[in-house]
Amino acid sequence: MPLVLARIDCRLVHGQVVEAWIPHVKANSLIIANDAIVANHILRSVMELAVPVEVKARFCRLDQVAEMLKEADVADERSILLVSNASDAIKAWKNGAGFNVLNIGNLHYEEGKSQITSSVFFATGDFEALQWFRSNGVSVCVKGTPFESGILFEAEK
Amino acid sequence: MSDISPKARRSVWRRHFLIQGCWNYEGMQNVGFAYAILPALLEIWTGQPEEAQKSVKRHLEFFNTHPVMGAVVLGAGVRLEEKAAGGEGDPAGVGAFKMGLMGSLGAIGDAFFWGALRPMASIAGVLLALFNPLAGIATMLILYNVSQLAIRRRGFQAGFSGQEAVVEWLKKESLNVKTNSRKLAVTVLGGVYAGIIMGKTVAVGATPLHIIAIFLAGAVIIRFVTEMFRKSVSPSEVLLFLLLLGVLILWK
Amino acid sequence: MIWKFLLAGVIGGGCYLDRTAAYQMMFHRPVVVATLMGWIFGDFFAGAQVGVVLELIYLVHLPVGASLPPDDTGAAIFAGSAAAFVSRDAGGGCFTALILLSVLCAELGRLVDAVVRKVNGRIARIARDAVERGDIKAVEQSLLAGLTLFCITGMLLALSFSVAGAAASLFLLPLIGADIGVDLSALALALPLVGAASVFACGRTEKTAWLFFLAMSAAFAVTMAARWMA
Repeated sequence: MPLVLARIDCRLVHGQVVEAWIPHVKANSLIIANDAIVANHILRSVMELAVPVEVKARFCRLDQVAEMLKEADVADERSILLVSNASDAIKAWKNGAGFNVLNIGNLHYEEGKSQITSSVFFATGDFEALQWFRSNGVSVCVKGTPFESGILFEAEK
Repeated sequence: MSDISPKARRSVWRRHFLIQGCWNYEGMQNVGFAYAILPALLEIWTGQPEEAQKSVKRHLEFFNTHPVMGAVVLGAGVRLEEKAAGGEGDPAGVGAFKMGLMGSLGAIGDAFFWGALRPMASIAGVLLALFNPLAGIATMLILYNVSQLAIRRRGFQAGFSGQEAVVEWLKKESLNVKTNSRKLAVTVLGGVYAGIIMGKTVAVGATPLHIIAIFLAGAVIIRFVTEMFRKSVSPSEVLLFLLLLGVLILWK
Repeated sequence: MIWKFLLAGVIGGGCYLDRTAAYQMMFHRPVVVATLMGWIFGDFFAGAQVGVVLELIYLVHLPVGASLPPDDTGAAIFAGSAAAFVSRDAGGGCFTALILLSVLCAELGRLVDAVVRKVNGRIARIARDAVERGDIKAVEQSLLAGLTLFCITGMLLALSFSVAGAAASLFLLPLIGADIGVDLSALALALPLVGAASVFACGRTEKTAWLFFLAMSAAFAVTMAARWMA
């Protein structure tokens, strides 16, 4: 089982991922799929340093997700896939990231968004994406850390 | 290198310690950041009140990182504002840079300072305090502050030298490697502490069976409570449970 | 006596400032705060004794996002002040009882902290509106307002917790009874063990468990040997 967690988090790598999820799912590989980060070597280098030494970090564009997963699979690693928003998650899924549970950790507040939990706010597009995933057999679970009860939206199949 | 006057620079440095002075749920460290960078902004945008206003507004946007790491972001923020004023960069890029950096730096800072350095200073201090409280407290304060002040200082300077220098500095500082070695020290010192307090409770002349029983019971309790902490049970909840237990014991 | 409580309020308020708003130089840690309180109320050593236990218990850093940690500074103000009022010949169970009671202050302090941060949200909004109108210096006044708020609530909390601590020692403990030391002896050992667990949880628990228990065995053996030979 190469992909142990797929997560939407607007902050990508941060404390909840590093301190809570990595030990919880016993991951040793982190795949950060984000076009902007790949293009900006400053942000990318700093994010690399935020990943614990014993965990391998891979940065890729959204169209490279499948290759990265394969690479991690060959190396027999347990990976966490991180994307920063719902439309990126859809792209990653379409590009071959075969997850059937999607975790939503953090989505920042913005004008006009509706609050789902204390740290997750949905825009209209996010509701549509949620529905899209459910009708494609992916359950969506909103929770920041593994220890919260969270809100689960079951897949419709 | 930055052309900002030493006076403004010193002022930003002094103010950066107050970055959490108005911490709030919506903007988190936003007011603190704007306050700290203000002396530099006033100098950079002298005679352009409208630009100055825009830049202060920029820095009142949501911002949150580890407070020590605020120093490097402030340094880099001043540098970027300077470049923008010199026509070298897009003012909007300042915000994007801060946004992109704060999460990673927060993770690095949280892991190192809250997750490794503070526990190391604390447990070292406590072990000494068992023998001499003043020596223990002094050790804890020195261990933590020498390191955090130096990192603030170096980060602040690196920030002033530009974005590339920030990355260089972070690599050189290698906080993720240091995090691991400090955590190792924490583990050893924590074990020593547990051994000492348990060794103290065994009555002089106790039977070997008794001694082994106490040791194993202690080890099991530590393992069990650790597991609860790993599952995000708060220390308060553990204490509340023990408080309830204490009340029940005294009740009967 | 009253001036001592006022002093506790002022010094405690300073420690509270260090906790979040300014500097974060560890002057807010329980071992420092409890020792200071013990010193103010005349028993420096008693304060340090409860301080070291509280210090470790609250050390663990939980990755819980925006939720606030328990107010260990407040717990230390309560327990440190209270410990100084416990008479010397009372049993060690008194300290255990006080540390257990201090958790109420830790949770109360956490609630107050949340309120302060909400009010700061108002201050931040005022700052934004003022800047919008062109008054950029308003940022300075807002920060000052936030600091003042943190400071005043800190002083009030410190004052109330130190008074509560003194009251707990002088009135509550005698009420519970004199044999409290014997009854609570099991819990007296449990508290430092919770502290040790909190330290252990800060490490890479799965990989370094052997190191922890090895160090523990060695220290256990040495401590016993030292005591038995003395």
